[in-house]
Amino acid sequence: MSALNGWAGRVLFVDLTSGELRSEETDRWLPKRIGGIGLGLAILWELVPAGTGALDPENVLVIGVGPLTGTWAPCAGRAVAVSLSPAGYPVEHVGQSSVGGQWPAELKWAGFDAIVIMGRSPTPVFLAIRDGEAKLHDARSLWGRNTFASQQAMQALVGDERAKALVIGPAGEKSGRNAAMIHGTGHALGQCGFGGVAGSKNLKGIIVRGTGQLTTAVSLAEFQPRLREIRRMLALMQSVISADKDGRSRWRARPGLTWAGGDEVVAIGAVDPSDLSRQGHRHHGSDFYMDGLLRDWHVKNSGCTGCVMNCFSTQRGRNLPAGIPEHGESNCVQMQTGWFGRVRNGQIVSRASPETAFTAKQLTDLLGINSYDVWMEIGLLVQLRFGNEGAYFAALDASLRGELLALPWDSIDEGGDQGLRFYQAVYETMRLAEPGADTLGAWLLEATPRAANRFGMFEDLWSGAHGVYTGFEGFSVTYCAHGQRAHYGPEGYGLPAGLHWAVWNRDPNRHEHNGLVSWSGLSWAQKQRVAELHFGDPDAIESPSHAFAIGPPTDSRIALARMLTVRSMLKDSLTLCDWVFPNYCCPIPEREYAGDLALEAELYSAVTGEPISADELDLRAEAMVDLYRAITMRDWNTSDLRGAVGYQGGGRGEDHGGDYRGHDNLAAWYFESETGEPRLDRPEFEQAKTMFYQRMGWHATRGGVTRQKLEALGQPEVADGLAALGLLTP
Amino acid sequence: VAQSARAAMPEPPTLSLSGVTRRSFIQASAGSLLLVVGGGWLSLGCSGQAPTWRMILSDPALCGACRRCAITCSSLRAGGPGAARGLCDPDRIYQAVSLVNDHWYAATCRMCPELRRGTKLLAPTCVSMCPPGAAQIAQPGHPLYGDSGVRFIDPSKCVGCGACVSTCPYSHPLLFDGKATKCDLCLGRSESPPCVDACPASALHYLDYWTETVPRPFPWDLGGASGDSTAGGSVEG
Repeated sequence: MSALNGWAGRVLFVDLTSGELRSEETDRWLPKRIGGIGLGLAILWELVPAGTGALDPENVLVIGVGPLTGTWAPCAGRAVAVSLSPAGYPVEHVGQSSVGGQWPAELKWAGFDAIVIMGRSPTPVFLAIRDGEAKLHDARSLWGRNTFASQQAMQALVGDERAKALVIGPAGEKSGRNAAMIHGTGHALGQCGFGGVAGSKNLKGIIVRGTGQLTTAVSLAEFQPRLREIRRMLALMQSVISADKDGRSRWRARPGLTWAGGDEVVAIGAVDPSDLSRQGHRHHGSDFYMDGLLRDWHVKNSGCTGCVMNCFSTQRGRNLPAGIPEHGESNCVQMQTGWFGRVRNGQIVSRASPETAFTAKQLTDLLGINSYDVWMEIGLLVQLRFGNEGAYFAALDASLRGELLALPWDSIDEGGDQGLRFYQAVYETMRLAEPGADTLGAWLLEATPRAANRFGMFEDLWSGAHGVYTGFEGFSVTYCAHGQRAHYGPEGYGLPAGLHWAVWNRDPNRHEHNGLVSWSGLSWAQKQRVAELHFGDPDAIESPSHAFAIGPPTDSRIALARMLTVRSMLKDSLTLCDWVFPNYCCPIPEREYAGDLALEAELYSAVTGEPISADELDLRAEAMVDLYRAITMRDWNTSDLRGAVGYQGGGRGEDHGGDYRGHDNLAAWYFESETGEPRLDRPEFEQAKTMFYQRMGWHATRGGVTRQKLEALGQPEVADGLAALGLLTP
Repeated sequence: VAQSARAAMPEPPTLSLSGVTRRSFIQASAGSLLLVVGGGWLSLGCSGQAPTWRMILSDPALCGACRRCAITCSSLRAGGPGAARGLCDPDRIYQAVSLVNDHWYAATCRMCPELRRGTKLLAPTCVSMCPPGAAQIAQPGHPLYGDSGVRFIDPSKCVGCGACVSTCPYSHPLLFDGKATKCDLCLGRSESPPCVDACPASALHYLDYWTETVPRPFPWDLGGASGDSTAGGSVEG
């Protein structure tokens, strides 16, 4: 057991090359690394040599939970994976991805706080864990099977249908850079291509069953009154006002709303904010997305272990193609992977059908693909076929052109089958692809930027040149940075989001920031009052209606940018839900809708028994941001993460040199527009970066973490490691 | 033991969601209803004056599988947060449907009635099948359980044979470390138990056994459902 409460106490190390399994006490990394991503970063820093590629056996995949996971703390049922990311572009740098559902808490109840996967197995295997015992099993019979069937087969092989599995599908088996790990019928360890990392190690999945129990410093009996108060403060993506007041709010429950897809119609109606027994009825993803396309198939809401919000939509599809399971869960982009509209003369003339949208979602999960990336890739195919007035298509090699032409394009045209055959054909190219081949499917498995590079399109994605084909809605590709499509960056969420996007290694969108700025249902004046109460300045947040007119880098905006960065790290350490924490807003008018930013520290102390203030916990998380930064410097082999004018590159990856091509940069289209539309001001953004670096104690010019900062927060060994690599700027 | 118990276990009966109360149902079919219990056919009749007792019922139409009920139970009654070792494991039904979440619901104890067979009064299977008499019905004025009439297991008498586990038609009792456990409604309290209060989806109901069932229409459903759309369109999350 750990000296701290809340922990199982052991970290499992699995060397797939030798087949050796061993474990270490989690206390080795506590309390300094908090948990979750912190454990992963510390272990990655220790074990992975500089120069390692994401798909090399020397890379490690760490999947860990936090101190709150599996306890009575709300919304902490997540696990976070850390590894070098094959989706990172142009450099396969460190990344992180989280997954919820039943698996993470089950891992801790099974006696382990994290699993470290090392090496490469000579043949396919899966890892089975039950109550402190771990064993590798032969997975050759599972290779090639989809993620749903694989989980069921693993349950049968270990003789426990209640064990929870996290598995890869065919995409991961082919080491796809767009591959995910899937749990249940929709929970995904999606971003960063970690399904490809697992596949490169010949690891089909991890199945766990835990019947153990945890301890908490404060018992639930003692904490229960306070827990009720805390639950009263929580809101899904900060949506504290229902949708009948503001159509954008995620609080969908309103008069007339139902769950209609199950055996009986459940009348939901309006939900009172004070009614905690119906907190999980507020959201309704199938109502919210795609103009409610799948509303009638919504069976019910569901949540991760310990959730009180239940953001997931459990759906049951009808009239689906053969082989597509009718049950599935999803949320957000995952649900919308197959949504598009055919446009003629500026008007939408046909749309994806419910069958198409649901089938695309299911195929994404069955093959084990990151829905975010495949969404962008399908847009890329449309742009390749029709964009730039046919120039991309004309320049394509004959074999790829033939494959592209063979796709059933009539399916997405007006009068077609509303996209069903098109999506099936695209996924089939990936399922059948030979990894490394020069084929459409193989390039799709390489994820968007590398596929775009092969198709001669990446520079246009970066610059925004030649626009987007206007014959469809929903297929546009807007690239942001580090291999990721734009997702609520500075174009909608102002300078703090822009800075966070620039310095982070993957899509860093902070949903609670979205909620604060956009989704809460509050008026703009009320939102600004919340910002004033938290940050002392109503203008710390910027209205998403002012696209690209980001404000000047004021101290409060820099403070909010630090908040987004540090609390992201804290959330992934504890491991809390990104849709709920930090608690910027709450549904209580008497508090002027301002939430409580000290809830994380309060829950941490109550569970672990270590007294700590919110500021102290933030500093501990900030140290991990510094460590993340240090590993990124090692991955890019440079101390110059600003990478502005005259950037020389670091000698690793695919594309380095050139002005504003270093790590801390957004795609050029954010700054320059062919058509003269307003864009970000480059000098102002560079000034903001300088202010942010200074606020973080990083090198003011180059943006790298410094020895002084590393030592100030207790990480001299990291400074020594960077110095040994010649990466510390004096 | 658990494995063979599962093999012998009948499918959990479908919940009655029709709004018919247990009392009216049983009155209507008194003396003629056939019910499968523990593999044997029993003739069920109303046992006269119905005592007041309560039970917890789970509503599969609402359960979101968050397991807060189980964590709460395990935390308060079994020494710390977990899901499997509380007095009730909502995950138990998961086995029947594997990955499909639609059918999740907590395998609560129904606090089965005593059944009349001719002149003989038969106890619930967990009680009647328990060799050492550890599973019992709390008699009025019980020092721990008062007048609640709960079915409980006395750990000092339990020998861990698993008979209650294998014969319960609702997969409710659990067996760990040589002892069976089951829900005792938190010592037969009259107010709503903590697991019910912990549910964020109103999926657990604390009901009078004889007069109430899973409520339909839903208690919050004032005017019935009608078409409505204030949908948000294409948005990322």
